[in-house]
Amino acid sequence: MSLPNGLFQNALKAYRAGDFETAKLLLIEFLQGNPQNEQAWFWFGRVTKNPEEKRSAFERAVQLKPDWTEAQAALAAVEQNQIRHTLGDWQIDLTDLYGEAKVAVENGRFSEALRLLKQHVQINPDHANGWLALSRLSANPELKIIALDKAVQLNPKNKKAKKQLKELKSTHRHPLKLGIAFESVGELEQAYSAFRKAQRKAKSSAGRQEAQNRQHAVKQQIKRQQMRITTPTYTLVRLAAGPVTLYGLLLLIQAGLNPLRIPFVFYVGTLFVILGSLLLTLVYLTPNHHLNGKLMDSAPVAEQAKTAVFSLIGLFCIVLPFLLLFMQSVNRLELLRASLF
Amino acid sequence: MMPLNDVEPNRYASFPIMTLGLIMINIMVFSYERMIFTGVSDQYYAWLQMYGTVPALILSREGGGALTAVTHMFLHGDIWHISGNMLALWVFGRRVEDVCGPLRFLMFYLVCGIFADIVSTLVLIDSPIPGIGASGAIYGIMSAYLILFPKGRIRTFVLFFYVPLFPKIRAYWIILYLLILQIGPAAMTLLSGAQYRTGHWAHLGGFFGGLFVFLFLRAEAYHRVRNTLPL
Repeated sequence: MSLPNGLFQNALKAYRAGDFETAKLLLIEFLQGNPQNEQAWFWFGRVTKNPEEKRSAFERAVQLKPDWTEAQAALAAVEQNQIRHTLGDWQIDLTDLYGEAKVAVENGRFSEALRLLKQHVQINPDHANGWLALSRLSANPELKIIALDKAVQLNPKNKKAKKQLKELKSTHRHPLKLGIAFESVGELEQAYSAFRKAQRKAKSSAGRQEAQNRQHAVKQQIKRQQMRITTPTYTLVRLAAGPVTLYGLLLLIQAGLNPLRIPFVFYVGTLFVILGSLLLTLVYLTPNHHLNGKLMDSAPVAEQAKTAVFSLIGLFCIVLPFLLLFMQSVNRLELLRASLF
Repeated sequence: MMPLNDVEPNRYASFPIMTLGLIMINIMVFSYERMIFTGVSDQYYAWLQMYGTVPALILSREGGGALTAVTHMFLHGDIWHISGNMLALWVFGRRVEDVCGPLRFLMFYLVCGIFADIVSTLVLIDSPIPGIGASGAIYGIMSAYLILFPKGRIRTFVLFFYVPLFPKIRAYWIILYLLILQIGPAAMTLLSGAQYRTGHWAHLGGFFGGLFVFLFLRAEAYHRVRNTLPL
């Protein structure tokens, strides 16, 4: 099991490597155990693409550390963007950066226009025309393809763009470079296809090996993206299942593998084991579960004392049924010993 | 083919206290047996009847029942039996414990052993022969190792035309080889009632019980660990 700061460090490593999805998943896990860590909330705001999540995360960071100017600036930027988005699609065409880029193109200032468009699509990643303009303006073949691909994803009805994209992909001579470019912007499926093409077209074994390695790395990233996130209740039930499973199996053996022969008292014992496991898991392993909050806030004593009391109750509920079961086993064993000796 | 050691360069995050603890308990119980009983005597057989898994007794609800489901895992027939089992536990148990933590490892070990017990009892329904040994539980540990570290390299002892060799073999080869060895005798037991000294059905029960637990009850651990460990 990795330690909490290991999770946070791994999240930062993933962020620096451009793997925002993994960074996000790791930060979610870290924040479940450390909800008061303002750094984690700030980084979560940076890695998530969802504007509402961004805003909540930066707000939390500012709440936890009110004098943190970087978090305040990030929150202000998010709030400003949200205002822009609420104006509606046609208004987005009139954002400062896109408008300025248009003016720069008209005046022949293409590098400046390119820079402005790059900034524009970072702030407004859902603006198809922005990506289209970026694709037209860029001389870099990889950026052309990436931008056009984004534009087509956002507006699949643009047949001209689709055709152009197909032509650009087929005539592109460096699929490895294209794959790297797609990977850097998080388009993992496209990167995977490009690396596969690079592996097929590679002229040397070193080139083939590199394409294969990159393909494998991207596949791992895709798998991580598809990794399920469990709900706190599901985690609670799963972690508490161990003692119950063990008790159930022992009970089954005690009853001669016939569940109908299990005495009623042992069904009650099963309930005790379930309750005890849930209580112990709630207290120790899922501190952020909402039931934990209700449990700990209920009794008016110090938190450590509450933890100790609930742990003892949980342990008692688990141990007692096991003890009763083993005591019955010992009685039966004595009868067998008497018959054998 | 006999696995000797896990030779991956990345070491464990924590000391394998439960693996070592289980090995020590097994050795202590075996030593105690050797002190109390000399050779295979009636008293030794009665001891096995009491603390081993006897399918006929389980189904007739006589004997230790739940207690023997646990105690049978710590009894071994001879020095080769305990050596082979403890070596396998040493090779495969440390990394699995590293992933689960010691308490969950112990629970997983016991659950796999009990699964092995149940399957063996169901197959050998009226058998009066006591079943002993940790191998059912160890096959469960191996199933967890197969899921978590399939490409882990294991230093193995192999006799190749009487020449001893010590190659490093991927874990999936070794574990699948050991699993396949069980299938033939297990089928013969079921189809023709053949009797063997080794509890092949117990091994299969432990292996698939461990798979069930790991894939369904601990599926998230599998997903998380598979995508973060370098093996």
